[in-house]
Amino acid sequence: MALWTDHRSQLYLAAALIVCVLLSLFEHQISPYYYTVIIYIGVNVILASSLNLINGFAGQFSLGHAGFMAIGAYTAAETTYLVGAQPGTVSGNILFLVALLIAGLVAAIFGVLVGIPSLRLKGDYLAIVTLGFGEIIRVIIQNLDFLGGARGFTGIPKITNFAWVFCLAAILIFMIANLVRSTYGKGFLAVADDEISAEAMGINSTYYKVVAFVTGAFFAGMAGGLYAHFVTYVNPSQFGFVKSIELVVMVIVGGMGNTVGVILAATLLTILPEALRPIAQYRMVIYSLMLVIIMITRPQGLFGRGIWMKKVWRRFTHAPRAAEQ
Amino acid sequence: MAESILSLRKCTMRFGGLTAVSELDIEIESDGLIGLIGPNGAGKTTVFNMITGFYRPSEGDIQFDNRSVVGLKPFEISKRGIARTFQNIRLCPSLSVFESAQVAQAKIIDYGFFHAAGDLVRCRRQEKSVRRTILETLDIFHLTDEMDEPSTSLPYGDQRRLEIVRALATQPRLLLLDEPAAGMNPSEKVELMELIKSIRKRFNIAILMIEHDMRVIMGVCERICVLDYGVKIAEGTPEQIQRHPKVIEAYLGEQVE
Repeated sequence: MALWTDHRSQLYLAAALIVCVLLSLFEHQISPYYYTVIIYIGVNVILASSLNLINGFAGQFSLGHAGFMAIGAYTAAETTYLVGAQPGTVSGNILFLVALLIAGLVAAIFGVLVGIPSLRLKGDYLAIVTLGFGEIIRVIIQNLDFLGGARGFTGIPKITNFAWVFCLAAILIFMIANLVRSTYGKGFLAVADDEISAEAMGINSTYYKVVAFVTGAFFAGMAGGLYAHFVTYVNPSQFGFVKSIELVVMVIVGGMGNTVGVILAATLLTILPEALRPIAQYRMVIYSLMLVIIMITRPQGLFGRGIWMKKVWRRFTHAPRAAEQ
Repeated sequence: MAESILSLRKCTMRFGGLTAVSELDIEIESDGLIGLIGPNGAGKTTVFNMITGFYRPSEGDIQFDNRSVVGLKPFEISKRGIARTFQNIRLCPSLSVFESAQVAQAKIIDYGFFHAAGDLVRCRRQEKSVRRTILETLDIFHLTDEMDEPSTSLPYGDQRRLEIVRALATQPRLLLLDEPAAGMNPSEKVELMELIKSIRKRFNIAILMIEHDMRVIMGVCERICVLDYGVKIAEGTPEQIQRHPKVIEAYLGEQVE
């Protein structure tokens, strides 16, 4: 089976996309509340995984991911508003795809603009610059009247559904999994660990950092677009510092640079505040307390670098080691 | 004699008021195996950092393959074909042994972001040849059994050898070894000497090595440069260097009358 051996990863992706579309047919069967939570999970998986590419794999601590999300959300909302995309129609969905791509591109352009000067900085300094960027974006949007200013952007068509969110999540995970497995992608890990030795081996560390940053920004922008077209109303305060922190927490709890871990953490941390609703006012106290406990007991994240995961997977599938493939 | 691959011409490196290396000339043939020795602080590692682009020489020129490499970034110099190891081992803790060598091939592959992200045929085909090359190299260094271990979990001597593997995986024409024998026990040192000689033949490259262990350096090098306070005080065959009065003075101090 040449198709299976040569294009295994693409077949997995195709299968995942088909499953997402099929599941999407049943999306009205479940209660709207659960449905909303599921969509949020998908959006957060995209956001956290794209941030993981920057913070986890390339090792650049970014605190401004919500800024890219905001750019994407507003760009997509403005685009569908201008072209008058209608939900539930074929043309509406095509226009929505275009709007999402534009949203991703605009966010990516901002990624380049912010990335090239600020990626010369390291660690805390980079964190502060990206934090500043996120806040600047929020304040600028707050003062742009054609985007609704502080009142927010209303009347966005509700086009996002299960298929949209999870197909994009599948594509992103497909790309990240392939990237980090490839020789090309090992450059991200080398730059994260030790820029000097990476440079000595012929790796252009600036290039790799910018690529990670821009790719992360692109997907955060698309996730923002999906989010906007689900909640149908966005306002700048949704994309504040707290949102960025929430995403960083997902990456750290999942384990920096562990794709599966970050997906699980994004899911868990989206469900957790909802599951804790019965205890009302203690909800965020418990939530914060759990984060503290996780960080004390597992500073490397719940799932760490995921080496044990790979071992289990290998035993499970009897997959050959890298050598024998 | 083979043609020169690297030549330093009157290279000077100043840090503020301190002259770490002054007007240094070194010539290396394309199959040479040259030793660089000198007391602590003589400027040996500074020479390496100048050649590999981590420092830009204050004066002078460095020609690699008859083209100047002064002002190029380290990764560009690596692409030209100079590889190095580090005095204090710099392996990536998050990469396995195999992956460490794989990183070094990242500059050789001929596909970009989208090929990698889409796992396209062009990427797959090259990954296969990358894997083959790395396995061959790991085999020469007897590291095949440890290839899935985290690179920093290896014993010290193996980590040093892995650094050499990684440098060789960049397919260089000149290899700079910064104290490869540091921290090795005597039997490991003997092994290392054999290894260095065999690397040069098998990969057909020039080697410039810094080493403090005189048995190692006298045992493998054809020619030795001696630095003291940034100045080249002697150059010649191991026998000449051993008898050179200035070298004895630099290492042992002046004779008391």
